[in-house]
Amino acid sequence: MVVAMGWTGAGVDGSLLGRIPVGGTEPTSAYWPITDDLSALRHRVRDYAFEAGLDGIPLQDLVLAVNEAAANVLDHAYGKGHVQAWHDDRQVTVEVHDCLGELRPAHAAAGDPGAATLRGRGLWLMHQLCDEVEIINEPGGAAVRLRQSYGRRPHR
Amino acid sequence: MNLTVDVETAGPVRTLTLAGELDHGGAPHLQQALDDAYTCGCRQLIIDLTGLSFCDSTGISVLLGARRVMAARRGDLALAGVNARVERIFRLIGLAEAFPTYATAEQARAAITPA
Repeated sequence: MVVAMGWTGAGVDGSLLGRIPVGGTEPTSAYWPITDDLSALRHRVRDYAFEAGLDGIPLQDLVLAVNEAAANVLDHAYGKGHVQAWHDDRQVTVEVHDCLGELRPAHAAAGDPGAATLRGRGLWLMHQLCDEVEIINEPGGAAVRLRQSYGRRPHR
Repeated sequence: MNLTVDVETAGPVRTLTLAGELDHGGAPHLQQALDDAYTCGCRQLIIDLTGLSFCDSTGISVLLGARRVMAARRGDLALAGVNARVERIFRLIGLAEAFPTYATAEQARAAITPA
């Protein structure tokens, strides 16, 4: 069973909590602040998603996608943000929130930057890694919502 | 530190052996080692990724930067020990053919060392 972990309370307001589905008898969600230590964040996301039922390449891919989104927060949003995760019987959802809000839905549809461009691969890569990638604009920030289902995805 | 960069120079060939995680936090360490190599006029460079447990787009951007610098100075850059995980990321990004790759640093050295 996955228990809520890492809840600090700070930065979690009612609107965020309100989006977390309460599947089963208790919510199995998690919250982590984004810090410079992306390695620690990756381990937490990996442990959470594995406990939820993801493994293999879909698990590795989700962890990398979250890493990419959090790295964008460090690079482009003054490093201020947090990560929320929850799961149901079909998929694991991870949202990476920033406090800048400059992400726009059009960014999620960004094309392959190609070998000539050094930066800006993150969002494009997330699309290759996850079943769903959605950008959400919210008061005071923006978020990337990443979803990975337990079912086997087509081989890429 | 989540990434270590071991530097070895043998004649004209410099080998950077990475261990750990080449991510947002580790990339600056690799960049520093690359900048040192450029300062020394290095034109034959091998980056050994055998010990990498993680690589993200920030890390790959640094590798692409090295590729660009070495191409500009008509040098060689080869990667060694690209594991399945890193290879998959290269492929997803569309860079499967961007670097000459060798199973080991020894093989890379044999391939790019000037005769």
